Amino acid sequence: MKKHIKISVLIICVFLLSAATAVVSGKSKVKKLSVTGSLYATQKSSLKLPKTFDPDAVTGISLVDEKNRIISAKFEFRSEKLYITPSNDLLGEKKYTLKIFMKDNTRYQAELTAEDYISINNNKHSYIKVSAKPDKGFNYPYYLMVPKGTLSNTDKKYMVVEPNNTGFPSDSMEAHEVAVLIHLHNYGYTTGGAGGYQVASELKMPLLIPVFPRPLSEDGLGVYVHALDREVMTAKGVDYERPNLQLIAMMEDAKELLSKQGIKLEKKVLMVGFSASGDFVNRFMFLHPEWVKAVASSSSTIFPASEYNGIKLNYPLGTADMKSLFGIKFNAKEYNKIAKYIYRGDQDGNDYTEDWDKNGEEYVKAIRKLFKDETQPYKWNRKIQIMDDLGYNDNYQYHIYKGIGHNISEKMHEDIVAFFKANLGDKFTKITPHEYAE
Amino acid sequence: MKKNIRNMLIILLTCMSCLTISYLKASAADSFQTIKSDSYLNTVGSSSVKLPDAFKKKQIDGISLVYNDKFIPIDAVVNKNIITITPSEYLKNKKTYYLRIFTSDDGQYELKLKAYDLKSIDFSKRTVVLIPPKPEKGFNFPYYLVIQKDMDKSKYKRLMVETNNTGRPSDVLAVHQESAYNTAISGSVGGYVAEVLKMPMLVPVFPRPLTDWWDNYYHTLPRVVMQKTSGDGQRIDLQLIAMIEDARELLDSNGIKLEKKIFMTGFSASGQFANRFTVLHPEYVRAVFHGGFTMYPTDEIDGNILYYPLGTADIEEISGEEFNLSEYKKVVQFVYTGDLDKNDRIVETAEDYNAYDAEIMHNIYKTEDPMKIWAKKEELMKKLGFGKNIQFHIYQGIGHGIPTAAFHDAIDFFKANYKDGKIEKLKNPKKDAWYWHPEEIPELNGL
Repeated sequence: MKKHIKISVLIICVFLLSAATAVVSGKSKVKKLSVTGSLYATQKSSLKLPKTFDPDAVTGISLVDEKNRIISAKFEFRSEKLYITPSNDLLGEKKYTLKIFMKDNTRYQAELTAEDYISINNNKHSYIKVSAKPDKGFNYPYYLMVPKGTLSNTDKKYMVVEPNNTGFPSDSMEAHEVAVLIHLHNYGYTTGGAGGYQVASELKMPLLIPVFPRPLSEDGLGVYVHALDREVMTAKGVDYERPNLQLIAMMEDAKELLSKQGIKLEKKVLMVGFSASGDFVNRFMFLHPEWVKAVASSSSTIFPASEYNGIKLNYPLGTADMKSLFGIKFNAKEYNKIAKYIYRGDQDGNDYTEDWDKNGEEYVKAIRKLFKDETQPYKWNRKIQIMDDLGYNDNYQYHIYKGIGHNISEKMHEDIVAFFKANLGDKFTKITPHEYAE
Repeated sequence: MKKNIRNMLIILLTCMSCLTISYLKASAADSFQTIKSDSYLNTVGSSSVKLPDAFKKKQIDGISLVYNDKFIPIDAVVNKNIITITPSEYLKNKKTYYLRIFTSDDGQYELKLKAYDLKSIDFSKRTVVLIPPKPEKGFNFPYYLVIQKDMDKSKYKRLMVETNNTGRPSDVLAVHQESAYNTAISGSVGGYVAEVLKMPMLVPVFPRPLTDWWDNYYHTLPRVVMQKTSGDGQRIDLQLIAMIEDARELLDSNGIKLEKKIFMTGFSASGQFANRFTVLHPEYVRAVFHGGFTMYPTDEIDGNILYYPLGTADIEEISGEEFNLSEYKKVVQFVYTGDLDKNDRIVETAEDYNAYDAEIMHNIYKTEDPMKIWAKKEELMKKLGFGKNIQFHIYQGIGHGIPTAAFHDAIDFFKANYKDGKIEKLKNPKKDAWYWHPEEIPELNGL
């Protein structure tokens, strides 16, 4: 009995002593907080907290990235859950630490990895926003639309890629994202689009649209990332450095992601573009023909040669300095394999060759030498003639729509769909396009 | 012995529990060490907070910004003892925020920081500041306020106002904000005049949504917008007045006393805004210079009833106030167009004129020729008895754009009409739209 008391006294004393030490020094310990749930990179997350966790005792809370920077987020505690809404997108597959500071100076930490929210339903169009992954080579997010019926489509499948085109410069990434959502038909308002949505929906193949920026610039024109012009392609040390390579990284990431969802895709993609995104696509297929199965674009501004009639053709007019600038040797064999549908409206006054692009003085001089004047259809016919002279009009279909300006109509979308349908195999097949756009 | 131990145990236990309890209570009240700081927060954008030098050696584990017991979302970067904080929402002017800092050595610190729209003005440079929305003061959108270099020494103490005109609809307010910024700093006649005459400039950031754009053309102040009964966009004319008063207060507390009435400029949509605002609130406007004359200060012309925004027939229903003729007659107006401008629409439009308005315009003008319409406008204003107040001018060689010559003329116009009262027309407004000789503007030499 006596002994029993002694032991219990001893135990109590030790306990109290240690408690006293803690009180005196005020020493806290960082405790691991076990939460369940995912931290989503681009949307609100809910993390389930342990039952014992008292949200009323929280005096501070921070979400911290790998470089110990505090990342802005809204935190809400509600019914044993912590809701986190990042103010800006987090980076996918990156580690973040959630730190919670309590009244009694207890500090909780939870290590979390930012994830993308992926849910594909075969019965409707599914939309996925994939966060930027600088480690994988892309500094901007991209969107995927997996059309209804893609999961059950057993055909050979290609990814449809439409580079984004906002139509105006802005430093607000939200503005560029809204333009992407509009072209994905996932917004309250629908307009334009280069046909990516229509092609993907009809062929039951996924559509990828990147969310590239188009920053404001002093001259008011903006930095034309959406057109992949020379200024952009030669920019170094910026987040939008080499959008062409970033797009390829997105394509590879998307294939990997979709493959895990049971959607296997061919290496090559189907590309569409109109106006600025038409320029992007047109230029991309010269840089990376090995990635492109077929193209429908409103632009034809680059020639597969380093010179023509003594006129040097530098990027983005030709291939002369592609090697020295980008380390890319023009791959004529792969280029010839691409099925190409190039179109424009007969009333389209947009001059694709100089207007908004910033390609330097040399480019403008070369254009003036190549083309006598700026009128249409002279310029259009001259381009085709140059391509003929260069011996590169294989697997090309050119078409001028009557009765339309710098715009794209439903009938044009129909033709673009038909062109891709006809050219999924190895043999190049021309279509019979509509004569009138409307 | 037994008893002894028991007693000791009880005493010990009581003591310890007291200690523990008091410790817990203490932690709730003063577990944060208060740091005194001269730093303050900006209500918009980033703020730098300087901590004592001792923090150079500490590692900061966590930072929270607290207002009314709520955590404000912030980005924060620590560089030695300087923390740069960027809240993701606007802070409130003159309110107190608590910045909590948790260091790796178990330190918990708290700084009491006040937020300011404009803490103080450095008149040795131009300052462009975004003032956040203040619903409690009557405006739900932010505005830009430009404070010119050497403004304190200027003899022109009037606020220049040009409303924002993005030129396209967008649901993203940041897009309209970028355009408003451009208007505030350089891209507008108002911005230029304000800079040259060293006057403060106000540009609101009104929205122009893409969703249901036809009901939301805020940038022209159309009828449907004036009649909104819900949402943030109700009565933006009054919101603009609230912004003007807020700017006046901000400048007043920095020693700049402004005249009651403002100057207004605008072109196209913003020209129409200025035109309509002048009819709605002439008591606020000293002089306007714009390219957007479409509204008449009358209820009818030749039996054609002019409802808002063509005229004042139902202005009381629209604005709650009668048309103030005596104040309207005090406003000096210079309105212009380009001889090649074909934008003057006398047709029904989705966002502005209904079928009735279009019919009335046809009745009044009886022509589709923009130059003939313009001549008719001038004739009508004369007939209505406002010929003395308004000057119509056509710039040669320009379509729907802002003539460079207008920048010159606007400076002369506002200088001549700076003081309330007398109405001065421009004797020799430039004819050539592209006239541009900045060396003729004496004030520019001091820039």
